[in-house]
Amino acid sequence: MVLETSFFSVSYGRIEALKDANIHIDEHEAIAVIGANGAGKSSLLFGLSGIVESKGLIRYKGNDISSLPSHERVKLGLTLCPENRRIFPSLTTEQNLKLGAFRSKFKKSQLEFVYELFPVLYERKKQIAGYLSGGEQQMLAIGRAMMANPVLLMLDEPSLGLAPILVDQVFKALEDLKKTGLSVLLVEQNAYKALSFADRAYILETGKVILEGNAKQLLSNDRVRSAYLGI
Amino acid sequence: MRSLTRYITILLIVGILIGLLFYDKSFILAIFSQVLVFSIAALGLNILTGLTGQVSIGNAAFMSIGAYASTIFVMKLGIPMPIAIILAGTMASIFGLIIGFPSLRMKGFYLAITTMAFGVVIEQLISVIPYLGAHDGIRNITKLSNNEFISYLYVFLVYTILIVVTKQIQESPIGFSWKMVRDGETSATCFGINTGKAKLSAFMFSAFYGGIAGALYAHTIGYIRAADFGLSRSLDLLAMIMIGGLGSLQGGLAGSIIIVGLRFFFSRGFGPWLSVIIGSLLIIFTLFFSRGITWGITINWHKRLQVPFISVMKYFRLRRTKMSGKMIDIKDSSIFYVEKGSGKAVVFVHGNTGSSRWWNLVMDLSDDKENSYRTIALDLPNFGRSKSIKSAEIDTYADYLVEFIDRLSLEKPVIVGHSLGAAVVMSLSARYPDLPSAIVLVDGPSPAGLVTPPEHYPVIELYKTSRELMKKSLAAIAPGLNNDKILNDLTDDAMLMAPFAFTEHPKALERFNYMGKLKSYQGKVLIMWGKKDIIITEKMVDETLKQYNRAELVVFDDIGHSVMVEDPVLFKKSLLNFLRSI
Amino acid sequence: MFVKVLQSLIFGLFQGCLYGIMGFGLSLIFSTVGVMNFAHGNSGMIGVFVGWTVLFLTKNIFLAFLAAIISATILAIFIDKALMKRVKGLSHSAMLIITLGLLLIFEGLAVIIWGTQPLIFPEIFGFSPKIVFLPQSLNKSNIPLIIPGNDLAVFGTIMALLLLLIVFFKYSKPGLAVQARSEDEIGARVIGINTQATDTLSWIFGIATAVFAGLLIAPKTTVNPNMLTNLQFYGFTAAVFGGFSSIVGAMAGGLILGVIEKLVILGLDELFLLLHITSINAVDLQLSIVLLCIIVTLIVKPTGLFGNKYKGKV
Repeated sequence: MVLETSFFSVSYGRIEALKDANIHIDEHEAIAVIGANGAGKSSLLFGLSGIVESKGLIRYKGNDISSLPSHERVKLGLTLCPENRRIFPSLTTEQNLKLGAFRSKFKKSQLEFVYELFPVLYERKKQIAGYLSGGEQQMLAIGRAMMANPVLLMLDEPSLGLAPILVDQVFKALEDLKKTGLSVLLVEQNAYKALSFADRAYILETGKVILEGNAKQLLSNDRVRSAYLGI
Repeated sequence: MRSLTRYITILLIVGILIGLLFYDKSFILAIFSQVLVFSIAALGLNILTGLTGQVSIGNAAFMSIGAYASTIFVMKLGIPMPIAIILAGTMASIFGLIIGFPSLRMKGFYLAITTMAFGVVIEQLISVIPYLGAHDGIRNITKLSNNEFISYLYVFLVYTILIVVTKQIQESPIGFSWKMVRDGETSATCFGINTGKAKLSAFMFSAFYGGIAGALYAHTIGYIRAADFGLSRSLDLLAMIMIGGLGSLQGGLAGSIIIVGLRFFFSRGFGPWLSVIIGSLLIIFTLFFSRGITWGITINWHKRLQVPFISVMKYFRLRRTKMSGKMIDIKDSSIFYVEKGSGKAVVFVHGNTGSSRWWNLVMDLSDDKENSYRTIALDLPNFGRSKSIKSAEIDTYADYLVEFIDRLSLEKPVIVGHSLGAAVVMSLSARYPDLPSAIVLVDGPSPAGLVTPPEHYPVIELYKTSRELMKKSLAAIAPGLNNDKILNDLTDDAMLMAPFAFTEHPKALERFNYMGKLKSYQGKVLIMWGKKDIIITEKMVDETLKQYNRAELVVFDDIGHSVMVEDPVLFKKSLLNFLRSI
Repeated sequence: MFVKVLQSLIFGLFQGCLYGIMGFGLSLIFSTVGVMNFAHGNSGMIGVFVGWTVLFLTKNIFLAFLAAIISATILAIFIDKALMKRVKGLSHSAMLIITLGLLLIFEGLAVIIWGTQPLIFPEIFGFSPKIVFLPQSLNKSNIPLIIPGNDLAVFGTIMALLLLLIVFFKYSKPGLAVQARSEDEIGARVIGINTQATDTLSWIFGIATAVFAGLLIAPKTTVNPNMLTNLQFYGFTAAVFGGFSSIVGAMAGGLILGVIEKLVILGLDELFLLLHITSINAVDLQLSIVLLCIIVTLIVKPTGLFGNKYKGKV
């Protein structure tokens, strides 16, 4: 098991965004977390990566990491590709990618791997990131996260604001990444895409896990179909 | 309106009395005038920073403009002083409009820098204009009056007028638009508020007050220099409103007393300490009392100061009132109860922050000549005179209630629960469906539970230590209760509740869930609900109604959350009707 | 006239580099921590006083500089850890008001400890001014052009410092971390940057550069509690010009400001001479001119002259 949480909660002041979530991720497993706006999806990822404070236990490869600061978690291989990309707009594409390896040793092979994954980044490597298109910025964000050489890659809404054709491209890349043996925790609004991609899934509603199970089975679950797939 | 007149009268009387007290000490009166002048300027800054959320560190410049304008109007143009002062305020407010325009495009630090720049520019410009006395300033300015007492009264009058006017504006659409801008410009825009107009008007008002304050400053001190209204003065003003509380109108006076008072205290030789102290006050108030001194006093009154009285009251009350009933040991608690009459048993279970006393007015059911009833009201564990236990769960209370009924050998009683007590009765009815012959739920929560918004918890926290707030909250849930003595009694009983339970009960009600589990209960259910209930909604009542097999509903039009204390006669009538039908 | 303009240009650049270095510290702190440090000048002033005291005791200028920079570091860590950490996330106004409080406290403390009497700080470089006569064709009125040696040395020192700073922030790991954090806080945290550490580092660099600027200017202004007050205003302006974004931006802003200021004074002097106004001295209006520059810049282009287009958060 790569990661396991028990009674994991995230609050902002007195408002509890996520309550007592118990989730686990096995090695080489891709997990999707779906839910409506404000269901606590982003809070889950922020809490796991240490960006916001959380309560409860987080076990990573058997060790409790819940008291570690975010930069220590990155070092252990827990990397978040945050919502809205959060790239460094006035640096070049390549500088952004190199910064991705801030906590690990920069390896040229890793950079080449990212360029292979997203050839467009190679073409734009000298460009200022702020001027890249939305899709390119998203690829850059994923690429930057990959530069940290993660064991578990967490992605927050990678398809947000992208044209359908770009969404397909991003998910194609995620499939490729999955094949390399990476564990993936994907938070998505696009439930259909996410469930088709993932092995297992959790469904969040108002801060609580209300359903979990095999992603393909959830695709045919009536409740999921009506609430998240609009069928 | 009546409270406003009262407010003004009190303000004026206090002001005049203080003035009379020091009638022959003109030096002290002069200090008072100074304090008031700066309170006016602070009031102006509070409109801008406290109410509208625009930090300005150039507001002393408005004082400067007002001071110089009024001086010139009176001394060089011969305009009568009252008109000159108003004109000076108007002139400052024109400058306020001018400096307000940049604010439409800037926020935070950028605006702070701009206002600061404005302040410095005004100071420098005045310093180089010979007509305005350049660096030396203007001396021997006509005074408001040669009598310090009269001067003081004038200043006080202006202060009173402005504070009342500000109070009115605060409640008006303009004041509302200011607060919306402060709390979030985007949402203000969504509410159709013209944020630009709101900010500009705040700047103009702020500057007007500053101008008036400056004019009064000139005519009380009699000597002005550009350097009197520099950056450090602007920072003084900021310190005053931070100390007094951002957005608190009277707070500026408290801040002014401290800052201006300090200035006189450290008049000679201690100057540098003054700036260290003012600087430290700014930081301390920002870090620890971000809502200012007035708020600090209020919160301490509710949090700490009432505590000794409450403990003394609790001690005597426990001793005195335990005499009126009986005690019985149930599990690890000991339960207090009162009873009346004999015959068919009716058990009353009170709600949150309640006690057996809530049923006092309805214990006597002897109006019914055909049937006789034995009424029993208890204090649940953690409440009133009963012993506290560790848990505050609804189910636990139900278990104690079951044992209580068992120990008193009550055969098939009718159980009446109010609010949280109704939840206890629901839990009992689901788990021991054969125990009661019928149940009555008075303004109870839905079987799906009752959610208390998280932002209410800080207030609930205060109920523990503030009898005053507790009384207000009880008055709100029993709007029909007009007897102050009964309300006081209920409040005193509420304060007897175990402290941990204050916040645990709302949480327990949130966890409470008997959806779909109430069908097993086959007895009759009467649901009472007051239309003016601010806690239980019609939807929740509907849910309860649907969850039981044999439930009927009685709705009272003019009643709030607590019919048995609001209209005991009505309650008894409905209850007896129901009892007869069983 | 040409010589006068050229002279103003030279003086402007020499002054401007000091504005630029102040502006650099202000925009560094602003872009990372998010607070406009109103206590910037006074923090620098405290450091200079410490330096002066060490110089007075040891007569060693090198030790004096070292002590001043160390005191700046301690001050920066105190401000960051003891004050700013507590209000982070509370509100920007709270942070702002705390720096205003510090401004007053530092000023008071300096007066209490060292008094208001200006203290002499010796020239650091000791170069004599050079007087140059331009060829007749450019210089009809035959006015000499003065190049102050000390100011030139200060200019050179600051440019060298600037170069070091650029190298540090562009190529060193901690420097890159600070830069990344100023671009996007969450972005920085997800790649494993310890943003608490970068914030502390920004405070240290910010205040240390203010102390450095103060030490360089001290021989001219003497050491006194208000020595950096005006320089702070200039720093604000330089930072506003530079759009609070890059090191080079603040410095360019400072240099431009210095030149504008001297040219405007030159122009006003000529104007007053023409209009026979003798009661007003153009130099008295110096600060107002600078501050008007801020207001106008902010109104016209709220993101600064060299600000980023895609980072228009004001």
